[in-house]
Amino acid sequence: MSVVDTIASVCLVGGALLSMLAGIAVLRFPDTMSRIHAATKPQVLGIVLLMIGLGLRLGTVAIIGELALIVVLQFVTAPVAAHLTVRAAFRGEQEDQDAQPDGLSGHGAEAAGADDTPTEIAHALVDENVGADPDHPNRTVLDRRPESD
Amino acid sequence: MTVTMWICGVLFGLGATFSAIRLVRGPTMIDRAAALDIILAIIVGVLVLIAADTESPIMLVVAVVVALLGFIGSAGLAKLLPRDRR
Repeated sequence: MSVVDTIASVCLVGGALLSMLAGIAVLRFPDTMSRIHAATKPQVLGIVLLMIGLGLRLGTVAIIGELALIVVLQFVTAPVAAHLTVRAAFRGEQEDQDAQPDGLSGHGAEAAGADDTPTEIAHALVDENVGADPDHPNRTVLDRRPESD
Repeated sequence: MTVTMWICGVLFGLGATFSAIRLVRGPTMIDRAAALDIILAIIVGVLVLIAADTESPIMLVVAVVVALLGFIGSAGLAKLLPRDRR
């Protein structure tokens, strides 16, 4: 077993080990975000290690070109796919928690209810009798109209 | 090289098993999408391992296709899931 074969074996085992670690992590980690974080590792470093191992094993130019194509495809697509997945997970969590308005999700305004529009704030102030008219307790400064009689 | 193949095969098998457990169990669909991503990466790894074992590059074409399918699959899932998550 030559030196090149040994290095190729180490790289192949390293890539396989990363895949197994990602499997353990996706099984054991507590929430969705950390699971996706762990899922990205074998897609980039694991694939690169496997490709290095295979390239050392069958080292012709055409094969190395094909291996480089796979590596470049993984490098371009894996972060995009992970970002899309994490964004979907983030939006889902926001909807689950009925959370505060948030610039990233875009769902915050509906999720937090309609309390934030100016009309609703005015009605909330009316409910607390802020600015109430002392002559007419049910009428406030905000909707005072000219008396018709 | 045979020892390497066995070690890699066992590691890939364990990783795929754990990911499949998460794929069945996962509380949200996003967890299942993450587990599916790992399984697709493992499939690419197994194809590379077959190519290294047989010393023929035929499986690499399949690996390119599977790598692209993984991206299309997870991007489509992430795009379509928020309407029906559970």
